[in-house]
Amino acid sequence: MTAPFLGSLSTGAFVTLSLVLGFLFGFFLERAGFSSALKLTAQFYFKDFAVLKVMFTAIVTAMLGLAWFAALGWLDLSQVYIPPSFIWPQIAGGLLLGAGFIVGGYCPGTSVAAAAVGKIDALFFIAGIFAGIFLFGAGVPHFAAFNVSGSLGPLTLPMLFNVNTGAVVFLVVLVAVGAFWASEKSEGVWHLFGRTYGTNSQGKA
Amino acid sequence: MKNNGEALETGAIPSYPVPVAVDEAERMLQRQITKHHVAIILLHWFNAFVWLFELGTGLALITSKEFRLAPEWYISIVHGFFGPRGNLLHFHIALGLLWIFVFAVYGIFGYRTYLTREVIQREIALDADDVRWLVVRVKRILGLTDEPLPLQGVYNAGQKLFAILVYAMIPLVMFSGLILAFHWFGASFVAWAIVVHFAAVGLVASGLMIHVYMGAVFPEEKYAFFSMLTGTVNEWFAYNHHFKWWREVKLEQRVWELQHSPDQVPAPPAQGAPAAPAQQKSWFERVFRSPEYWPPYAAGFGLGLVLLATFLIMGQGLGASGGFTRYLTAALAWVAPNWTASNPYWSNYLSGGSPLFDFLVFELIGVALGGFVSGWLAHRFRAACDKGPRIRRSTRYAFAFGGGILTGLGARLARGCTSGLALSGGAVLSVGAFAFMLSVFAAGFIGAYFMRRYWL
Repeated sequence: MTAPFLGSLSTGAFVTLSLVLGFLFGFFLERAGFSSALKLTAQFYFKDFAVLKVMFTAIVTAMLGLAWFAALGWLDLSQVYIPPSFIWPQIAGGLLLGAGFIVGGYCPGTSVAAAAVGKIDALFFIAGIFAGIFLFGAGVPHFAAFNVSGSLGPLTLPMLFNVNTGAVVFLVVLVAVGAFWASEKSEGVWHLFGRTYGTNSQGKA
Repeated sequence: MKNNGEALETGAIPSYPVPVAVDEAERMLQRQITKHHVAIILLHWFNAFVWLFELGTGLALITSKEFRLAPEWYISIVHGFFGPRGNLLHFHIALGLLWIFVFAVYGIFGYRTYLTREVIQREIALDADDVRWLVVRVKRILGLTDEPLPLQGVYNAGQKLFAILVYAMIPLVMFSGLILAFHWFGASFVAWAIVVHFAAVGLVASGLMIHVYMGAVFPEEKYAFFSMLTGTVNEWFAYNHHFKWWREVKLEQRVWELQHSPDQVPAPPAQGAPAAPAQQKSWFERVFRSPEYWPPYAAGFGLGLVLLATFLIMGQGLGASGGFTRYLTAALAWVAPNWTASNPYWSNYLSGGSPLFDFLVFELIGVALGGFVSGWLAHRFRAACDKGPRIRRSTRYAFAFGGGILTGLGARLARGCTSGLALSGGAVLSVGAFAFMLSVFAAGFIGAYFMRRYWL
């Protein structure tokens, strides 16, 4: 039997596995320190590159896993959901979310983990997310054309550059390792604003 | 008599109430002591608001001839405000759910502050003085005795009795209300829930009448009423009505003053005490119970394995904002079904059965549980607010809410957030995911410059 197994799951197994996967997701987010707005935003002040390191380590791990499982025939890649690309709204959305990240201190997933360890500010952030989604859904008829502009379908990097998937995977790994190296170099060196910045779990420097 | 008054002035704290000189009483009237924390004041008025509206709408919902309490004209006025019975019921249930939610938040973040054994003994449990107080109080009302009332703590025995009633009945009201609203456990439970709901509400309502009368009308208790607005009562009121509590507060003040007086030399650290031998901690203690975060590469590797497992099992990646959208859609479809179904965006989520039967919906519950367990293991679970040192908490809350709005808008425009699009889309090499990721980091680094006074 090849993965994904979604089609062969009973309802109970589906719900249980969803909860378990979510549990592990929240557990590792919290372990990484992503339940702290101070730790998350420290990324943008060049004090602590944990966001970049964790994110790229996770992407590289999952990407290599998917590539190997597909190569060994254990995974049917055509059954894996590839998000459709809408390039302009995704760039605009990324800018909005980045601004929301630095203003609010969290992103949606991390705010749930933060609220779960008692961060009151994360509760306000979550309330804001619901308000933002409500505004989007209620207002979508007014920018329907922009919302679907730049549609490219489920386009991937190998398709875009018309090269072998393995080559792109290799390239992403190289870029990630380079990013790790650069962040280890710049962490603690670029005191751009002349202040130490608290990033441990107590929120103290 | 005068001596006792002077004794009070010179700072001795009497162990039973003594008559007080007039000028000292004047000063005591001016001095305020804190009785209620602001969180409790907010909860009190929220609770009062909920009871007002729940009782108001609940009365109008009882329409069967045998049990109807409210007159016809009252029911028609309420229907005039809320529309037909279905709307009224929706309002009643929605407000009740909000009530349960707020109490749950207080319970989760406040139980260690407000539900300790000490607080329960001090503020709720009746002691011997309290029992005698109840007897004397009744006799005095009936004119059978002139005996002075026994000394009382921070709450008098009448207030404690009401608290016991409310603490016992509120869970019953909540649980039976949930059974009635969602028809849990079948018809016989619903039938019993009706009885429990009415009986529990009736008991609280009867106590509530005395509570409101004492607070709003009874002249002697007017300071207690104002303490629910300001959080403080004057010392004179505390001295006369809650002497035991007054004495506790004064003793605490005295201890604080002694500890902080400039001529007080701090006790030298105990010398010669052998240092506790350093214990070898188990690997579980070191890995899971240490307050340090995991190294980012280790946490990232774990996260990557979870993401890989999610792709293998579910055929899609992890996410967050999609789950938020589904929760919101379900709530909107419940409150405003027609509008939600006709909206081009929400209707996407309504087409395939319940918007709540989805991987992301269950996954988000798991995220909260997993985050809690991880934080609790590492001793990180406590009510807190992450903010820069230069801003106030209220500023942080306002910005967190505003940032949430931007994030919600951005995540829906991009069709995913940091987890759903950047992480999961990145792992399958989606072009849009990498464009999104670059924009997030670009806006973050640029915004960080403008937000530096706020975070640093």
